[in-house]
Amino acid sequence: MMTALLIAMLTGITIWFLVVQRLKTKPWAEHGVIVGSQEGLTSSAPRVGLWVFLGVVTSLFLVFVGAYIMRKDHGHGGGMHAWVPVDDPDVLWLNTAVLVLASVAMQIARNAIARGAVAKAKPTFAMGGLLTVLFLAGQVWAWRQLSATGLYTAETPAYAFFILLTAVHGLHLVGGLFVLARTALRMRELDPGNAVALARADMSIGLCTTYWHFLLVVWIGLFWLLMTT
Amino acid sequence: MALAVVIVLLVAGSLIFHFASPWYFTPLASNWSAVDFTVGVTFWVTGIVFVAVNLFTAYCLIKYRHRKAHRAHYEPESKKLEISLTAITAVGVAAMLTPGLFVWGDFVRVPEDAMVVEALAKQWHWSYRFPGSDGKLGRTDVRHMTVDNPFGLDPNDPAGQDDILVANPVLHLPVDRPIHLLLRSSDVLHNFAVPQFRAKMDAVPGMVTYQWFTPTRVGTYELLCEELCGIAHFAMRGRVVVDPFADFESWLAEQPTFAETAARPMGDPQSGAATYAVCSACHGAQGEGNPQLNAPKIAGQEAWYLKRQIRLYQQGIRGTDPRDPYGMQMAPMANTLTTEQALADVAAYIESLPDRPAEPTVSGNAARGRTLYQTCAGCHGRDGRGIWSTNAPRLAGMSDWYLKRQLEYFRDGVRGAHADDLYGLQMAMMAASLRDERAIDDVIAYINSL
Amino acid sequence: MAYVAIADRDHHLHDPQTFVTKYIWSQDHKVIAIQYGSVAILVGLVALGLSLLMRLQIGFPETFSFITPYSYYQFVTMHGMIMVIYLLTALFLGGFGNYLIPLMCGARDMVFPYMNMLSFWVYFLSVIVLIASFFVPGGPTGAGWTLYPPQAIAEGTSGVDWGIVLMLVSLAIFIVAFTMGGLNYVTTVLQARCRGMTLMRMPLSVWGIFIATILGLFAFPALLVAAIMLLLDRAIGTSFFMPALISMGTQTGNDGGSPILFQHLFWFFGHPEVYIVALPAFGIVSDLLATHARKNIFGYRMMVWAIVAIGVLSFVVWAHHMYVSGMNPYFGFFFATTTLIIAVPTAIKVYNWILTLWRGDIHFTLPMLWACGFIFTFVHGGLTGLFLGNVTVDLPLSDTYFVIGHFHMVMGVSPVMVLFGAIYHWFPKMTGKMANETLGKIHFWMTFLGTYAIYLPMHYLGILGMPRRYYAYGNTEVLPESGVIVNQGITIAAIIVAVAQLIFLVNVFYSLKKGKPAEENPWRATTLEWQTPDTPPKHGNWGPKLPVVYRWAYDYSVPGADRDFIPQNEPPREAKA
Repeated sequence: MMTALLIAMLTGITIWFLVVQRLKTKPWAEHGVIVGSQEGLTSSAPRVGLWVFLGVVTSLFLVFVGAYIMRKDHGHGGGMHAWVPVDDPDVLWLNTAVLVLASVAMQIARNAIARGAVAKAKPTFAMGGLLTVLFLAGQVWAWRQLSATGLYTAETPAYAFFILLTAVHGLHLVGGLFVLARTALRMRELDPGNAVALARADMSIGLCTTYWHFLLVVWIGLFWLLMTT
Repeated sequence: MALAVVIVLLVAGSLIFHFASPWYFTPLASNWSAVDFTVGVTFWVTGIVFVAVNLFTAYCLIKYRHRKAHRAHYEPESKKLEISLTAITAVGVAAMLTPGLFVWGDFVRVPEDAMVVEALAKQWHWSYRFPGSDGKLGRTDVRHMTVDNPFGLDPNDPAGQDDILVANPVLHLPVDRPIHLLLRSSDVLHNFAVPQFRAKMDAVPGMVTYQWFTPTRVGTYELLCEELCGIAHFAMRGRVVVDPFADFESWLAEQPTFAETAARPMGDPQSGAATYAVCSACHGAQGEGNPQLNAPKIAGQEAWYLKRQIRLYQQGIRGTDPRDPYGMQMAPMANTLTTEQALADVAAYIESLPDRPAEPTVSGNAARGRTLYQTCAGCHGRDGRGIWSTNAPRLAGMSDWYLKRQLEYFRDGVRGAHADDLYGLQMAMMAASLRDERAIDDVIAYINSL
Repeated sequence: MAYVAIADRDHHLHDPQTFVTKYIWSQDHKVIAIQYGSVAILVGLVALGLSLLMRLQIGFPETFSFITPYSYYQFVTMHGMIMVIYLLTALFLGGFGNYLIPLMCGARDMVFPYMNMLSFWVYFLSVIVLIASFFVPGGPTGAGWTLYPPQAIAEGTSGVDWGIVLMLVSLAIFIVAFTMGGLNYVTTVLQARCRGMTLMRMPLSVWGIFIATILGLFAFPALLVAAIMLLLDRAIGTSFFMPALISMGTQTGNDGGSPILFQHLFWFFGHPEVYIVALPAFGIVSDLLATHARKNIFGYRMMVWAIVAIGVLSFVVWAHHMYVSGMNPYFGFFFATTTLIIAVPTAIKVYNWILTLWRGDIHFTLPMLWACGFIFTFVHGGLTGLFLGNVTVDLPLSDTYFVIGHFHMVMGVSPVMVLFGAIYHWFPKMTGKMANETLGKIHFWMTFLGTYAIYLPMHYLGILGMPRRYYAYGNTEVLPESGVIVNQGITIAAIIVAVAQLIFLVNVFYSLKKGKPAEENPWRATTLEWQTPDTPPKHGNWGPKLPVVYRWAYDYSVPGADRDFIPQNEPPREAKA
């Protein structure tokens, strides 16, 4: 419940931030083009679009977390059957490390392409993708380990939530991988001399990297939640 | 112009409607006059705003309608006006909110001396439990619920043994005593609402919720389920009878405790066989029924349903309507089962009889009946074999000519019309959805195919 | 300058070649808007038909053999769900959002036109899945539009086999479509406004749609989460929402789930949803009133702040739908307070609409009729909301016809009033033809008076205690003989209102064929969409040169000006000199 409230506050603040700028002007009193009023518009639309999307995904995961906590407390509070925590497989630690490495690789690729070092950007970018695939494989491995114990069924709420949260997070990475693969394919024929193509690659890699960092943060949050409850 | 006139007329009409129409709260029968007070305050505040805002709109529409050479006044905003309007609104809102919060505070806090009563909601009927002499309700769990323990009481909990169980939808309450009503559900969401009490609360499976009120008027009130709970939601009716305290106590004393219901005699088919000789004259040696004698098949019907119907005959709830001559024949027969034991025995014997599907005699369009039966399946089950928890008897493989007659009885108010036959009332409301003879034939044709 | 480049991106704007790319796989926001609008109105007609079936049963019980309890609850559910999600949300944001944002902001198109096209087709898919549920065994779900578990997925409810599954899947698809569209609307407003168009110069229509979209983007995930978890409960037997229970006499094997959790998730989406529908209506009606009263919208800044404040507050009021749900009753204090606070900015908006009329120069055009009709119905619906938002007052009224009356006035009739006003207002721009005035007036009067005749008595039946979602009432104290007659009257009024909507359809087709050709700017409005070089605007909207904005959107009847309106893109005099 309090979590839900927290989500509400966060969303509220986000909206507020978005519009708090210049809302006190008296528009009828000003005529002509207002100088400097639209500097925000110089940043690129895809980047803004991505950030709005990340806001949506944040909302999605916050709601999931809120549901998780409320469900957990419901099990304790209502005199019902106690919440049985899942014994998290150790491979999750390894997976986390792999995902961190993926993020690092992406960042290196981003820095490289910004400098125009295409030769360095290509392999590190691909490495980021491969490490992500490895992470996903590790997550599936964790699922198999859990189901192999035979301790948990679909009715075990902690287990169901474990699968659900990791799956939703994984699906977001899979979506990201599609974009990453498209970018990587396009990069194969990237001519470092072509400024337009380079700028596009810079943009794509930059967006991917932001997305990866974001999902890493989400994963660390989820991991912490799953470990501690 | 026309619009302004219409708005004025609508405002006037709404006011006339409000004051002159016969539809307003049912007379209050509980302590919650404060709830009515908050509603009244809200009506006054919102009513004044409604009239003022709309009349001003109408005034503007007339006064500032377009005329030649007329130009609108230019005024981007008026801080003073807007701030004062905001302040007035805030005052009005506070005037409504403050009493509301105080009354809610009373509603949330149950008085110490309130009498605890539990209402158990199931699809689609109510039953009740009182704590008994120890003043404590026993532990319950849905997992303990069976046809013999419909309340799901924990048999090993000593606190539950003296709980008084009311396994029908009529609840008696003493007048002028605060009632702490606990609400429980064993399947889906329900809502305990008596309009005259002004209080209501959902019953949620897996939780115990509550409300409290003090009935202040002796009388009988309708209990409605006000949370959508499935196909028969609208037929989930109960009754609350508010009695003087002495009457309430004597009613309560007649109700069985959990220990008593648990100790009820098990039926003995052997001794039932002897008693059954009377029944076999019409219903046949194997309970297979006899259309010539208008006696339906009873083999294969579940014991709880047979026992309930026999009791209805005994209590004069069934078999008293002259439009039901066959029921009137059955009533004296039912009265031959004088003891609880005899009733249990004969029901047990009937349950032990071999079950062979009755010969179909009704023909209809089973494909069309299948659509109609979707509603029936809600209680009687998709296979038509009856479900104890919904109080629905078996239909499939039983005498179809009997089903047809009963459906007509329900529809025509021959059966299910008696005030004390609340399960029958449900069926009557359902049977009303079969509008004509063809619909009845079709649905029976489908049941025959199950 | 960089921003001009973004607003002016035109690499996709070479003229569409074939019928298919022009009208079907179109990336033009105006075509997508009309696609959204047409599908929404079509599916809305289905929902209108369902409401008539319901009313026939309530008004004349035991008359129509095809309305069984099983199908009645299906009608109830599908009517509600279609109207709220697939009609109102889609029409306001997918339809008007798509049409108006780029035109009013002075952009050539949405910033992600391809995604915009996908958004429509994914929405179309969700509608197909939804409609498909009418044709599967068991039919659509009858769980009520709130889909509360356990009942939504437990035996004893209509359409528990396939209907509920398709419903949840369709919702999930809809949310994907909405997210794609919503990202576009928000990014376009933030990134593609033409030169000079500051946020505070945007027309209130754009403000309303913009904030509503943000609400949607943050609120719909809650519905998605609820839908996914409910689907899992239904499909593989998880216990997110399902406690231990007995369904049809047998234990289900579930344990410990929380039905209340679903309600929290649902209403965390569901209450903002009310404003997702209401805010665009607020915005659009402000522009209609200002244009047709030839007066600036009164207190523009206050109107913008109120929209933002309502948007923020709408996330902290959701549990006022749950006062008697069995949640911790102490929450009632908090949510009653926040709910009544939200009444203040809402009231300010109402005052400012009326103050816009005050000392105006009111032309009783078709859009103006609908806008004034909206003020009346919204005042009525908003005031009854104060009953239900106040926890104690809600106690006797919740789950009765008072609730039905309230939310249909505030969320059904009022937004629909704006929708029709908006359609008549922008019809000339969209089609190049004027809508027929006489038919439009008949449509207005039948709808306005008809709906009031439907919903006013419902409030009183609710006070009497008539519960909602009842297939039949039988003999009961809460519905006396006089109430039965009122119910018949309501049903007849509903039929009249439905017929009026057919008149609207006739008007649309008639005016398309034989309507008077429209001028460029028939209402003499200031906003940019009326300043396009072509009517209807061509792909790319602005011809070779983007407009530049020099003033706010409400320069009507400015003292000293020679005309009673100055378009936003008209340069100030001193600049000319």
